[in-house]
Amino acid sequence: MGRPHSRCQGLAPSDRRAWGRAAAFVLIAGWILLSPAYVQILGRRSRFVRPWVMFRGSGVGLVDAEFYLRQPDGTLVPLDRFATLGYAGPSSAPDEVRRIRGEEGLRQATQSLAEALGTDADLRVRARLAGRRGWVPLADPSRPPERDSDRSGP
Amino acid sequence: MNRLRAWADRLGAWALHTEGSTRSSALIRIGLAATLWTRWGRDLMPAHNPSFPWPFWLALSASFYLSTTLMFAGLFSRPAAVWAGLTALTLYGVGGQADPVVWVSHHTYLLAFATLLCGLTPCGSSYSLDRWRAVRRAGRRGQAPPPERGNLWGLRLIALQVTAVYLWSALSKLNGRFLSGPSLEYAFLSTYLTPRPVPLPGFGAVVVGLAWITVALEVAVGVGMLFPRVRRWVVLPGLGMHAAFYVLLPVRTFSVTMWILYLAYFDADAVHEVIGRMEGEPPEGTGSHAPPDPQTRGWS
Repeated sequence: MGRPHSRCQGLAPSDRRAWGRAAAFVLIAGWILLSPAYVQILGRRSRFVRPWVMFRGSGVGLVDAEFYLRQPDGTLVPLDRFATLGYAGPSSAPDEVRRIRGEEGLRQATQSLAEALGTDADLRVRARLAGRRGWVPLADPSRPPERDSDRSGP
Repeated sequence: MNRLRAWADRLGAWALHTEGSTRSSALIRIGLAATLWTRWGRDLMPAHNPSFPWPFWLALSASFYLSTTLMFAGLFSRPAAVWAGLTALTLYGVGGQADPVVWVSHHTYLLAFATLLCGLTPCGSSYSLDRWRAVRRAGRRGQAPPPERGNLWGLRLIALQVTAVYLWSALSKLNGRFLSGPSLEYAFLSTYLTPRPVPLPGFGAVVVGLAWITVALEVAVGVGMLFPRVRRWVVLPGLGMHAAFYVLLPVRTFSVTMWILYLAYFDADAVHEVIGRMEGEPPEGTGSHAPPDPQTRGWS
């Protein structure tokens, strides 16, 4: 923005302060520019080095799930799981209900909905897990979902 | 060889030997102090002790409030900024034991480290109690007020830090999970409880486009902001990108921190002139300004 107006001042080599500043600049700039390589390129871990890695862990392990009620004619009607569980909306539900974490969380969420709907309801789920390398399919609405009660032994 | 030497000389002049107005540094000091309060002020209240030993917590809390208050007011500005930066880095270092979400993230590290670097800028020579005391002292001696000028090597380090954030961040995004969309969808899922906050057909393609635009912008802004001719083209997209992050995702103070630190890229005397014009000051050449220096042209 605009022309550079700053003034450059010559420095005598004997100026200790200037040399100290130059050394400090090289050290700090080197740290700023190169230290992330220790983690991001060499793959090492250190609590003293800040890698600039964003969006890598955010959301990993969460489940993107859509619930449906299967009608006798085979059509799938979307289900509002918060309303079904008695919440006014997502914001009024506790976090463990709002966010479904992992396969176990999906089983528990499905179980809660099935209990709220009653035994006659044909509950179906389409779900995928936010995995480290991409989406992992968990449930398909063409088949009845796995519930917590399915895992209990005889 | 001569060309390389000339380039190195220009780089050295830009980095170490540039004198300029201190107003940019002062604005960064004030902005960072306010951002520190926004980020940690509530968390550091005595009532919110996150299971640290009480004396340690009290010392950290007192150190934070005292140093940031001095920094904001501009009293012993540079030592106060170093003090506040070291306090914030301590919070970053030990806070993970209490709550990694609140204390340990790239947001908090950038804020803390930039505050420390602010202590290397002439941030007390404008808009500060330090300045007010200096003007009064000069008045008592019958002298003119001291010029608002100083060496800008600290501002250069802040600019390099912002560039490093962009370039390393772009490098970390060069993978299939980010460029094909899932990473952004995960962030939406975490924030909006759905990876498709906008229920439009083809939103998946929009997310892929956003991912590529983000990486391209990070490289363009990170490098381009260093060069005046390119800066004019990348500054608004860069500000817009951070505005979008702030509105769409829970990035907290990261966006405003980056906005404040953008000041470090701009020619300090140009910023001084703009502020002076707004305040009705006489134009360039009649105040504390120095004539343009061809050696730093193209860098500052």
